Amino acid sequence: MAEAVWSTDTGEAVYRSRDPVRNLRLRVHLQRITSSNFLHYQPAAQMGKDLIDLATFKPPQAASGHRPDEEEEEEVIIGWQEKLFSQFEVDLYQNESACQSPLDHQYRQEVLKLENSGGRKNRRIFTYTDSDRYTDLEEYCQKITTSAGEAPSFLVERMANVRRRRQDRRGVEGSKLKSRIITWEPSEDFIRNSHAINTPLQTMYIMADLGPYGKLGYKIHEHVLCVLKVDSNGVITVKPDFTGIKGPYRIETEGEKQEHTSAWKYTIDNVSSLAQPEEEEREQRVFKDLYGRHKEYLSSLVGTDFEMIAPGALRLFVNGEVVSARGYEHDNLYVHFFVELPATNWSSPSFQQLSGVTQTCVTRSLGMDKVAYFSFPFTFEAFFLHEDESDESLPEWPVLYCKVLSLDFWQRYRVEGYGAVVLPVTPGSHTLTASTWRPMELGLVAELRRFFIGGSLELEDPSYVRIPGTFKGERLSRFGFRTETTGTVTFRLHCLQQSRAFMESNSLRKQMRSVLDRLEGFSQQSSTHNVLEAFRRARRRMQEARESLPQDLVSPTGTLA
Amino acid sequence: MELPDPVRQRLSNLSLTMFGDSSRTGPESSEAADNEMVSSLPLQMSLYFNSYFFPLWWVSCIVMLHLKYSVLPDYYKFIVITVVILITLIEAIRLYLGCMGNLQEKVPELAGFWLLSLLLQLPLLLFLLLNEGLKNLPLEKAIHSIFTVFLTFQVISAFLTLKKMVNQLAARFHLQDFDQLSASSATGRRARQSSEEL
Repeated sequence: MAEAVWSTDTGEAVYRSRDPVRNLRLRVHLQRITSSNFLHYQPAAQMGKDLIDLATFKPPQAASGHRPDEEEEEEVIIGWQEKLFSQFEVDLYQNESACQSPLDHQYRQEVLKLENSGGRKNRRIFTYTDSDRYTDLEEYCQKITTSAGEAPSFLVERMANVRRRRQDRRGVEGSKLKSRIITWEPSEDFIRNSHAINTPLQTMYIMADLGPYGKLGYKIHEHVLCVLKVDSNGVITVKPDFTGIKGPYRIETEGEKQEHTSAWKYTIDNVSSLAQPEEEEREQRVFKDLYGRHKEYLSSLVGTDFEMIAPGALRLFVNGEVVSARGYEHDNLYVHFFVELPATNWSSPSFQQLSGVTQTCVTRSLGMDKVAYFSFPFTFEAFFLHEDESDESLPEWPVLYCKVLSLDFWQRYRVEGYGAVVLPVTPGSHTLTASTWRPMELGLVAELRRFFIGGSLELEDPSYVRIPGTFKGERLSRFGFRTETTGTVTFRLHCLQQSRAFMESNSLRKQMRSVLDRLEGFSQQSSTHNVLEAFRRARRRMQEARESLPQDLVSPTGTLA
Repeated sequence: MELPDPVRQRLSNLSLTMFGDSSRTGPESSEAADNEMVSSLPLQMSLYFNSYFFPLWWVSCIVMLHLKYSVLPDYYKFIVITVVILITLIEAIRLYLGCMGNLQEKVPELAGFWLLSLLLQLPLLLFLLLNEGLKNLPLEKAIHSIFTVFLTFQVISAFLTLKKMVNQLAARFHLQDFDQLSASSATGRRARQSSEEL
């Protein structure tokens, strides 16, 4: 005879599904194993032979007064969270005094309706849903491996008490828990019961009543066939796994006497119906439309127009920051700053401001110097238009002038220093430091006046720091002008440059190192552009002339050719 | 801290009466430029040093009074304590008004400073310095003399600064008046042109 093939691996399996979990269907087949069936067991795929064998042995069993086959075997198809009542629950809920919670009353009505309509269709197999108050004690001290002599470790004991948080909490427990918000001295039981993990799960138990024939409905005979857990992310945990082509699982029960010991076998199969091809196509079309509409929404937010500027122009966009000032005598510093655009070829939008004043900042000692941190942001935009093609001189670049002043308690201000930095030619982030000086006057009276009253010499034109705007000539002389060295001002500039020439140079694969080379290339690009435009216009004019010629003039030429 | 409005108005009128030159007429009398600073450096220096000198004066005065308190007659005890308290309070107010008036170029504050110095502080200090019945010790004579020199110098320099400040403000007012006159004459000329066109 063939050896019986039992499935002894009762570990859990994890599945992922994007389908709604309510489409889940399980088929559970439960059968008692008797001595005759045990000896003649065949694999599940060969059920025909079993039927023949059973037919052969049927008359002697009936003659000997054995139990009918209905109690020996049962098969049920169960849906997700489908409530099947056990004999114990039917007996319990028929008694109205046992109903306490709204769920109990609901179950009582269902049980009464079932009894009126002819009783349950299931005998031994029943379910506990997520709403039930059932707790499985075996889950608390379950084994990690298949070893029989395994002892639970400290971690297992701690993790066994982690309670599953339910997605929908109903019943009396919720109201009890909400009565006390803070528990000042929690007990061990309270800590154990309130330890909840983060992911909410829905649990369902498929149970079996394995009591002797005619004695169903007792708690001690209940056994767990399968545990199903599903979370909101579509992860389905099945313990034990679906049998499929494996052997059935086995449960042995202990009776009062030795001869009442019985064994059961059961299989779990996934019989969820697959989606129809039309439904699958419709679902894919819905997803495609959804993603397409979302992409169109994002495109409408971003926009499709890229801001272009005129040919031959360079757009300079600067996000700057007055970072700090260091090394000045007095406290409460602030900085006046402005950007001077060269008179030739540079322009700026009329709405924006090219100057600014920082806040007043108290200095603090950092090493040997006193430092005032401003972190004052500013933004400006300028355009360079290169119109004169024959001019070969390099373009002048904007200059950032700054003037550091201090303010005292009596609202008197003193000039602490003047400085200037040329804006960087290359785009990117740059940190520039401007060294400052202040004009001074010979004699002690001037210094006393500066200290006590606060007045001091000021430049009438701040551009005198470099080349004054009113200067006309070849040589600038500052003889007789006296200054004193003061501290430094630090600027941080983030420069962006935009020009059509950059795109053309990239398409032509030219290697240009800096913007000066690109600016030098402006005239060349513009000349090429003009030549191409002229050629295109000439060709269009020739085509129009050819089309307007009479047909008789064209045909003799063809004939001659 | 600002002076009350009635006090400011009275001090302004007093300054205009005392320090304004009614004999001069028109903007030709303006010596300084319109935007030039009229704060006085000597006055500010004396105020600065007086601020540091006053705590020293106060401690010395209290120590000397404590030393000679037992030998003073009863009526002089009460008078000296009252005078010291008054000098202390008036000095604090006076220094603050002086700094504010000079540095921020406010005529009422500076006038208040001048009046407090001339009419209250100087007589009280001269009483402490010159009264023979107080049995002044050598240290008291020294610090009272220095304080008197400070006060005298401040009274004189504040007077000159007030004079200059009031004249500059008057000149500025006159210049504004002339600006308004020129504006109104331009308006009249425009009206005359319109009538000619009609």
